[in-house]
Amino acid sequence: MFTYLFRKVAMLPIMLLAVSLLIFSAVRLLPGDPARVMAGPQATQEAVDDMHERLGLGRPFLVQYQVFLSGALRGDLGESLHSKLPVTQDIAERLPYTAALALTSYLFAILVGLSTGIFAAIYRGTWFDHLAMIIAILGASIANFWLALMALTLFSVQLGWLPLLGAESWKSYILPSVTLGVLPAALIARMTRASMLENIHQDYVRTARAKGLGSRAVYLRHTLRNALIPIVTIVGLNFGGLLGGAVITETVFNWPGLGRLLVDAVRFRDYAVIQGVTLLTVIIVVSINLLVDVLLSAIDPRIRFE
Amino acid sequence: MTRAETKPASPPRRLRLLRYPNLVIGAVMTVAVVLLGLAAPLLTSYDPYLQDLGSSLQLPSAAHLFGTDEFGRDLLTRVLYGARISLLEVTLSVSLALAVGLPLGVMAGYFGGVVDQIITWCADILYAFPGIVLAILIVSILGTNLINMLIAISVFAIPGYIRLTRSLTLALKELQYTEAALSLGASVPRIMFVHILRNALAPILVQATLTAGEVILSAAGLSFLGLGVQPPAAEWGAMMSEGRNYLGVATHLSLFPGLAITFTVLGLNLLGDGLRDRLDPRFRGRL
Repeated sequence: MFTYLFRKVAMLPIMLLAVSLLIFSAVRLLPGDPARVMAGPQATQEAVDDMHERLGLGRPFLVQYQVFLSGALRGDLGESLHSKLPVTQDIAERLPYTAALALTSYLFAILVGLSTGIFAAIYRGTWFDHLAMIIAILGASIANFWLALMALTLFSVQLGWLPLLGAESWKSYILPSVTLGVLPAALIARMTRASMLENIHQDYVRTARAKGLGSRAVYLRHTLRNALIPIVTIVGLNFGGLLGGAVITETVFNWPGLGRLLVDAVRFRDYAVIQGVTLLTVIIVVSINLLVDVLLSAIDPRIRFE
Repeated sequence: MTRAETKPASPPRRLRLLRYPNLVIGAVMTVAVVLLGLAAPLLTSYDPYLQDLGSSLQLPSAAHLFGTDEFGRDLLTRVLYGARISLLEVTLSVSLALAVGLPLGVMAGYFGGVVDQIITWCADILYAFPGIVLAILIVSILGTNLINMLIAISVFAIPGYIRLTRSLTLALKELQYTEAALSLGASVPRIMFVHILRNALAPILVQATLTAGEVILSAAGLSFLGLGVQPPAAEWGAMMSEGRNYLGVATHLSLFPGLAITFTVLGLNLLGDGLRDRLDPRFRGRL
């Protein structure tokens, strides 16, 4: 168990090093003088020279990377061109909003997806199963920002039940969370149903029934537990997709999170922010994936020995 | 009784397809989108780009079935022409992802060792990025236009193909026909790209169909954010972005392009699911 975990954890810094090198090189590939681009179109020659010095552009590439990396490790990701604040401060202000949105929408997705999948598997072939699976494939095909626009029109503009934009009260969370959670909910529902069905006819389920256990115990304690592995995998792997979706959802709802920070940064060509937000997103995704690996190896010992 | 009599007569080929309703419905929907896109100039007499400010923001009517946009352009015409842009996006993005992903995946699976480790490593690094975030990073560097957006979308589809082709190659290279080809003197590239890849085509086709749906969603998303296809192009995501300012007043501006996206992606997803059921019996009735 510990060797397995150690190997996984040891890979994390190497992976992040590679990712940071990739992001760093990508920004250095900008056409023209990176210092001029990063200092902004209105920058004076003095500011450009200053940026040149700051980025260490005269020095060899690897030395520049080292400067960037040692800064990043100390929490210095440079200064935002637009807000003139340190990038880490910009990120720290926005991160809680994205985290809250991601958590509420994932909670929605897991609750709805898991319960729909379980009931669809138990009542396989009934109208409920068919309807649930039609909705699930539809949910996996809808553009979440279109759903967001339509929900916004109906519930906020026309009915006036929910706030239009921003993140003022708990009501503001409803539309963004639900519209962002639809896709993962659909995927989780489909995977849960498939995985439950695969287990429902296994010998151990028959044994559990034969010894007189009630349906609920058989489904929840035996079948679901064994069906959990692919479900946990898909829940974990989709978190990255959810963060990606959040970028667009935040723009639709004017949500003050990281996604909007990133989109605004691209508009202002604010490369220090683009670099910082991208790096942070990857760190989050890679950490969640590691967490899923640990969780899976705890659920199923076979995984550790593969 | 002979064995032939106990076996139920297999239904004619035409009816057998009906056992895969997803496949049939998905194929019909996808073909419909392709035909509507290709035949757009024949189906409508309006120009998708010609402005007519006198008839701007009209609600759906007999003259304009989907209404008109803020510049008085017929929305149905723009949605139909949008199908052409989506077809172009799918064709270019999926081809690019296949062109890079397949050879790398086959090489990783066939050669193993260091080659495999390096290729898998690179795929893992790309996998660590949420697709849209990677695309935004690439577009922010290359600039915002259709081609750069398609390159960005292809890049995040590549690791999926590498992983799939690699695992298929690992299984296929152990099979006897590969050994037979080798002993008959076939060259390694011939074995990799003719013998192995040809037999891996079915799962790759399924993956390509499902990627096509993702390409449309991502492209629409990026264009909606203003980071992809730029107005006045009749791209579904860009059209929704324009319609965003008229929610509640002229909701049809966002409604119809969104319905077009959902219809197209649903068709592709059903087609992909159906193909998987048809080509791989293990999945039948599972998803």
